[in-house]
Amino acid sequence: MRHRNIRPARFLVLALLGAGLAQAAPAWGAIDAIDNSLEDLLKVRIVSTPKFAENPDQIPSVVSILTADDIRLYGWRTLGDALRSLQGFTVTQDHTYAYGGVRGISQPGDYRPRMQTLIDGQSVTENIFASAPVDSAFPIDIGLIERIEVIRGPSAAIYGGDAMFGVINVVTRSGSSVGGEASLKLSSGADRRLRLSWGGQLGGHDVLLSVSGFDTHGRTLSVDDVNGDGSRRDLHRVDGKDGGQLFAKIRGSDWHLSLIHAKREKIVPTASFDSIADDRGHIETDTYTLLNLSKQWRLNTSNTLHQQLYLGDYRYDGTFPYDYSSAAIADPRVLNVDAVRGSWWGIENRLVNTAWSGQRITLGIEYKSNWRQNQLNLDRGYGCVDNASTTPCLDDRRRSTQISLTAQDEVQLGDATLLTLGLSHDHVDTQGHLGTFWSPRIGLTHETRSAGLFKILYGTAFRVPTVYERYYTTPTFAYGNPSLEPEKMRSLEIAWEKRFGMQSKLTATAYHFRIERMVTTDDNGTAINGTPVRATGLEVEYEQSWNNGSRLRTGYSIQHAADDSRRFDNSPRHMVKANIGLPTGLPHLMAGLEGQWISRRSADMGNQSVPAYLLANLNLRYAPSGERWEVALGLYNLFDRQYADPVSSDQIMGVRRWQMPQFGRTAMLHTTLRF
Amino acid sequence: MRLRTLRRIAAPLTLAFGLALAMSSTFGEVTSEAQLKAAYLVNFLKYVEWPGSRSTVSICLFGRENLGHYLASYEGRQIAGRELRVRKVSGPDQLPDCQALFVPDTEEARIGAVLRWVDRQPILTVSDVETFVRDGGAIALIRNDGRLQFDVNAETISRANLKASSQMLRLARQVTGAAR
Repeated sequence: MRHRNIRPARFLVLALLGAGLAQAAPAWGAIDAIDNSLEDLLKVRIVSTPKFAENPDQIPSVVSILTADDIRLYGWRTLGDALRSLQGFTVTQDHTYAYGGVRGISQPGDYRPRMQTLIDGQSVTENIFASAPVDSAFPIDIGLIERIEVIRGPSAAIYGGDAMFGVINVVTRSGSSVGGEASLKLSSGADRRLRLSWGGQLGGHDVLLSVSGFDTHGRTLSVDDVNGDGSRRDLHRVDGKDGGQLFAKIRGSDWHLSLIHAKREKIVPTASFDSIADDRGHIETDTYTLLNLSKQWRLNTSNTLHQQLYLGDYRYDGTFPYDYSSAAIADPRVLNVDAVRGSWWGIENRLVNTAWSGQRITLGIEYKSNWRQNQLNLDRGYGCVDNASTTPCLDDRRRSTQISLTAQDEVQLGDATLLTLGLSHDHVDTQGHLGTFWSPRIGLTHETRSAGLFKILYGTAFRVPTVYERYYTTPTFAYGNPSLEPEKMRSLEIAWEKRFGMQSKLTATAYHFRIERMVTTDDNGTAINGTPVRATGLEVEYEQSWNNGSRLRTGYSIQHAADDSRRFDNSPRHMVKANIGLPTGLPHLMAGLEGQWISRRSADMGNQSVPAYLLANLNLRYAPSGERWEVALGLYNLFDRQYADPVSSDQIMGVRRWQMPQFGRTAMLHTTLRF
Repeated sequence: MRLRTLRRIAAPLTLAFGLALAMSSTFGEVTSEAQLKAAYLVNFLKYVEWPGSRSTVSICLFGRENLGHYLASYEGRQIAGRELRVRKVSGPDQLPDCQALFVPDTEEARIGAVLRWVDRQPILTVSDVETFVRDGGAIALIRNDGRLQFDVNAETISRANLKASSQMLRLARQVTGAAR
């Protein structure tokens, strides 16, 4: 590691000075109440999100909202780029996937973010690994996102299992706000991404149609853990990928229909899972298809019924080249193939009742059928070499169903206090494993006259082991454990929000949670229920905006997550983050500056560690007013720092891998045209 | 493998382009209800005249409201030559410097009292309670068919010594208390 970094504190002071000295610039905002006329406002459609309270102040935990403006200002390329700017969040990259983690829980090799990720209210979480991608495999182009709402704290009472640490709801832009739009991104590593979108009003409905395609050659990365002797070797086409995304939606006044289809093929030359290093035959492909129909029925003045019918399909295909020179077979390069297929459908009903004064009651019932949860692994042309058999190494077919009943009452107590009581009952039937879970949740928000807003949330959540965690076992990868028990979590958090005037806000959250039987791995890499996990932390964030268009969001997190034996891997104790938007003084040119300092993280079951790093990103966006185009130049890892992320422990040619070096400076040119 | 995807989607792309060129996009942004209410509240200031001249215009938010979050971004900006201020109020003594007063539906029970405090003062009262105009308030925001409309009580406005533009009255869903 080199140590010519600017220290975080000095970095912030400089940035604040810069913000103070900045020149005037046009204001930002999706709809501008001053520039638009009353006639314009009359045409605006209201989005109703039944799962979300209108007002973040009434949700008993901290809510972060990132907008399309933030995405453009900071030049975020993926959902992960956006999430890693939030307090308590980490994003880890092993050049196959990026993994989102929160509050110190992001163990390498664990695919579950334990947060519910939604696109317009529909869950993205697939039913094999229960993962939700935050990188280029995320099925929506980031340019189509209107805002990202992040609600912290266990919300199983409303969103079901997997909402342990909260909910990430991605809201897409309306067709009318997109109009005709073409976006071209060119980036380091011959990375090209083109998006063409059209949206507008058709017969009184809001329609959006968008297609994206991307193709990345990839970059060269030098590593020292693939040769077996510690010598360095260049890996080529790291992050090489191609893929496409289709998104179509149509929205009437009280209904919504959307279709998402996305595929990404990624080249993995990193010898992950001990495949042949630098072999372009190692490809991992993710394909998502999501269909959603929702309708809102206004039954009478005090009752509204929201219904949602959803279908999902997920495919994961991996080809892993292995060297079998030791075995007596003709061609020693054997392609091991993973073919995983998950399909599900479900129906959700949610009744919101406001008949009683000062109360808002929500009752819900959801049925979900995971009608296909299949995992297949074989050696192409052989069956299973290690078993010396012609049948596949693994052919596991499962299905499961889940019924959830939820009830929530938000009770207004006097002028300033809101009590939220929630309870959910889940019945999960996974062939041979029956489980019923009660998840209560109690929250209180209290607004004081001058001391700010206080929020307290106590909640519980559960998580049923995935079919991958239970049944993925092959002769060379003994991971699955059929006797895994569900995880259970209890959590308490206290938040304080204080506004100073209308333009600045301070937020602080302290939390403590405990997870019983958390799924982790033992020394042999087999999934097991671990000893109780305890985590404690504090997250502080300060936000300020200025009349000249400058803005600042900065925060600090301290966290400790450990089980009975050790602190967790990939769980930094300290994180400092800052996002600064500055007018440059030149008309219509804005600078978005990001800084993230992550403290040392342990790796490889606590036996190793990766050093702290400071990452800075700069995005310059030129958006002349009244023009139909804009252009942005983003520089990521601005100071070309060398750093690594902890990754899943692997044995490659007998050498243990536990970290993955990250890319140096990366540039991206982004051009947008509107028709 | 490289450009296969792009080639595969070339046909839908061409179609999308064709559509984009053929249609003119209409304004009709989708937004949250609270955000839109906040936008209306600011926008009304362009259509109403207050007696005397002043350099600032203040929107006051009464009681437990939920628009402050969305109004924050407008604070300090110029509207019709005046600088916009936003603040929260909870009693009659805090009202004198308010030009517009928003009473949220969560404070419906106190509407009568609030309207008595502001009676004949040059304050534009706005609420999202549907019956606000009938109760004697100046403007009510009404949700209708996925959009937000407004009713105006012209009599209340003139009693408050304010002048509403004819354009605003024309766009209102309903104007009570005076001929259009």
